[in-house]
Amino acid sequence: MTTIAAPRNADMADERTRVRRRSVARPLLYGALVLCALLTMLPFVWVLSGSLRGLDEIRSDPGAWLPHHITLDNFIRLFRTEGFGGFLVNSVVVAVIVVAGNIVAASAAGYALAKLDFAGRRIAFGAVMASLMVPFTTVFVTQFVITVDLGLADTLTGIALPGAALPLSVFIMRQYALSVPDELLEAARIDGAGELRVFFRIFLPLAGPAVATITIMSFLYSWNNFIWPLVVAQSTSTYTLPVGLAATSQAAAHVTDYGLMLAGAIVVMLPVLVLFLFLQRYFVQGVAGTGMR
Amino acid sequence: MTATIGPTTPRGARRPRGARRTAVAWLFLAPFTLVFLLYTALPTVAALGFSLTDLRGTDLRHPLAVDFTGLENYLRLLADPSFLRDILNTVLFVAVGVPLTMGLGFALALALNSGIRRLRGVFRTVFFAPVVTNVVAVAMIWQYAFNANGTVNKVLGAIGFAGPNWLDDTHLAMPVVILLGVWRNFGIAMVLFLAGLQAIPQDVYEAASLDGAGRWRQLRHITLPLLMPTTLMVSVLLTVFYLQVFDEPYLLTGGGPLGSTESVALYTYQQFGVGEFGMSSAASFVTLLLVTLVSIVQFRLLRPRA
Amino acid sequence: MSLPSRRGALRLTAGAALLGSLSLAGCGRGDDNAAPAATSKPVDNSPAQGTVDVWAAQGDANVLDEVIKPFKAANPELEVKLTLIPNAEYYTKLQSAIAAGKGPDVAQFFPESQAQFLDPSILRPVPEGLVEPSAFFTSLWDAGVAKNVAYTVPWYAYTYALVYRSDLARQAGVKAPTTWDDMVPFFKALQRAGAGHALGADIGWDIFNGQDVAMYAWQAGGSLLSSGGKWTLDTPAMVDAITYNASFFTSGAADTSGPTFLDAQPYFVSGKTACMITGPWVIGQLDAVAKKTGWTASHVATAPLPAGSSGSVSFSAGGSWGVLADSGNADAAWKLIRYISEPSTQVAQYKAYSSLPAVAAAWANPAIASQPQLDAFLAQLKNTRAFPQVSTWQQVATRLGKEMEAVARGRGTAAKAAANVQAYAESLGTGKG
Repeated sequence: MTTIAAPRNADMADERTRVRRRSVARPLLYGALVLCALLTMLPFVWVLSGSLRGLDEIRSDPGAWLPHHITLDNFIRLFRTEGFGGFLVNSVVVAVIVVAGNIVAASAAGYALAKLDFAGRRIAFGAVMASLMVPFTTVFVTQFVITVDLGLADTLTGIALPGAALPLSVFIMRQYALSVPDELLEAARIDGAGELRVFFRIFLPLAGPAVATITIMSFLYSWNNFIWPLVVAQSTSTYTLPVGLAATSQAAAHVTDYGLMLAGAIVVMLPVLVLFLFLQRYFVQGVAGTGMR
Repeated sequence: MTATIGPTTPRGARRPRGARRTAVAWLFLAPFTLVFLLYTALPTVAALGFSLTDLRGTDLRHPLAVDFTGLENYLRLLADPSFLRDILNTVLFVAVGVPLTMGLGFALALALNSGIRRLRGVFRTVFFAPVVTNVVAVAMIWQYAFNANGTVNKVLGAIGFAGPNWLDDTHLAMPVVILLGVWRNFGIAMVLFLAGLQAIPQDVYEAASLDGAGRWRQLRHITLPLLMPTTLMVSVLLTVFYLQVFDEPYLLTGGGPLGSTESVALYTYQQFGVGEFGMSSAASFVTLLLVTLVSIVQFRLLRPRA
Repeated sequence: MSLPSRRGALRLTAGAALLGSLSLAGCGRGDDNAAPAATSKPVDNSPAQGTVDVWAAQGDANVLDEVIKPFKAANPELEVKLTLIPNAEYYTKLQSAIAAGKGPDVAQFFPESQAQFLDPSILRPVPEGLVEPSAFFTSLWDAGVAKNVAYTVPWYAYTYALVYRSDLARQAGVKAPTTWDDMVPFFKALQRAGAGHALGADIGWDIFNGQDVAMYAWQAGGSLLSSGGKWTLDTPAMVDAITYNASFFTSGAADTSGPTFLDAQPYFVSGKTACMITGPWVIGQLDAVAKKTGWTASHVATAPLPAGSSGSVSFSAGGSWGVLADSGNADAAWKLIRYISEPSTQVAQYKAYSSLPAVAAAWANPAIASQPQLDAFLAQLKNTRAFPQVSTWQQVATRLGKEMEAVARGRGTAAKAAANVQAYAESLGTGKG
């Protein structure tokens, strides 16, 4: 921990230059960010606009950017869809299982791979990396056979289980943990704390950003997952939101209900964005200021 | 908690014995290992088995009755010019897409981390939003935007350029597909870099700037080196994802025109769709091999020097 | 992670792989009722009982529950559970379920792509006497037959015909083309009358294009698969077919990047395109796109496809039903299928969803017979063939579609394309048995 020396005059001059540069740079930075943000949002304008247009309008003039008549019809139909509430509940339950599993199981695994020196560590990490690389198409049929053999077909647990400990989460936690100084953990061990205590009491509180990232990523994976829940469900009452929405948009005669699909796209997006907004502050927490006092 | 330094002792003496530490470590790894063995290891091994047979749709109910064909599927793959072309397409997608995505994500993470007080949360959310959106809807918009009479060409026309028919040109379709991929994923890179940047203690920067180091020097000598584990992670993750790219070519161009945007994952999916499970598994394993090789290279190159 | 140890690991894996598939296969069979190999016990007329699980793709099956109400009333002891599955993923889900032994009793299939399911381990043969094969359009029935055993019963039908702007044709003073040679002049005339592109072609360059080319090959007198099971794709008829199809594009009548799926009908309505080679469903949809009732009647006409040297043959497609070999209630399943095949049910399905009957007799019903624009489709349906019933056909057709793209864009010759497809098909063979 360094002591703050008394500022020298030369430092003050530098400081002033820096402040001046910063005050020119700052608006530029904001400007650039706003530009990027606008470009990023452009496609959403279309999705939002489409969701607020009537179905006939979409069919007769699909490429338009702004609605001729704004209508909430698509959203109303979406919420009135038979089983919508059920799809939503199913998605939430699956997401909770997946996120909880990832925070506990994957964090523990990532921590172990980064901070504990043990026999077989390299192989274990290699296995984690390998599982990241296996394409879904290769494995999902066998995964389904296993799910059936476990008696989990047509259950929400069956849908959630394969995603409950994502190699992605393990990887994220491992890399983050590598950045956390060993000294903190060593000190605790020297003080006599057992490994479990070190993990739960010392490490996890510091791992805010990583846990937040894992939460978002695993929630996202679970929330938008489509093919797997479709395969596992044997009846519409087990459908999750993406599956239910796809089914509903195709329930119209001969054509995909694009209005419903776009309204669904907006509705499905919102919870994740809200979660992300909420987790913002945990991204800001860091090792800074809490470790080296 | 104080960072007291106790009496100096050889490192080993203060640690729990190796065997106990191993046991504890595997305890930590247990839940993940269970899910991994069941849902990844076993199916992967099974798929490897399938790739050595001529398993087809009609064999689904009696997979044992298939003929062991050895490496025949792999040989067929390597002899198929479409497959080889698809590998090149995929490599191109990765070679261009990963640096672009990483660069954009890193720049934005830096910008959002550097003392921008207002609207930080809003910016982060806006930039993360593409990651979250329904890719089917977005691909539709992209198709419209890049149509011969679409928005992009209208804008170009306003400044005097005659825009081409993007998605119909064998040389221009891939850049558009890559653009979609970058747009969808830079938010992830940004979030991961943000988390990594947060792990760097502020004191280090303060000390450096008091010692007279300017912004750029701090970036080069503090941020980048300390960010190595994160950079490695983002690079590997993006590469692994992009090597399996499917949604973008499937939804935007169907792999065309003339297969110029067809990826290996798309090929694998097509094989699966016609019931060629042996071939589909073989194509997956070629992908796996490719991904593994590239990842090993990345780990070697970007390994943090302790 | 050094490479040599990886190789060792791979060797180990290869050995374990077979073990893996062994144990899985063992696991997968746990729930099997031993399915009779090829017995087809006749189905009687007693009421059906128990539960019947029906899986169908979204689309025509959306109205199935309503349409089979009378059947449910006549069989009060029976519970019919219908599950609708998103169309694009339908086969994926069905295959996974079959692999895991978790399939339904009755499943919908699509004649043009069901060859991979026609195996006694997957489907039960259709019982003798359940339905009269000749009641259906021949090619639809044939699409469910493998090695002289029928596995599926046709449900609804469609085929492609020429749908064009009758007002533009009147303006140009031309009639619908009847032979190949008339086609491009017809297009040119429509364009003179103001159409942007005469043909709004399907430009997915995939299996559907391949099927179109196959159809043209038939029209030129060629066949796809010889009776001895050999591919016969590199023939003068095929070259003619490819050239003919390419002429749509090279003559400027169609755009190789054509209207996208969302634009196909709006373009047609606004005159940006003047023809579509498509199925009968558009007839019921164009009024909504034009925002005017009666628009279709005054602006649209249909005609069978122009004849090549061997006539105006087309392919048939639609929906069909099969009973899974694992089914525990095959009796009720067949009874349901038998009910759906009755002409009155076929007509009810048409009234509910505009699905055209696969049973030829049902077309005589006034609801259908009174629609002049459907006449062309009926005429065409009577002159259809089934694609080769081999499991590799889909891949061959997809390849054909891709080769077609190259020729349409002026990047290859028809002769080369035919040779390429033949070589590809030969390397694939015809699947197992």
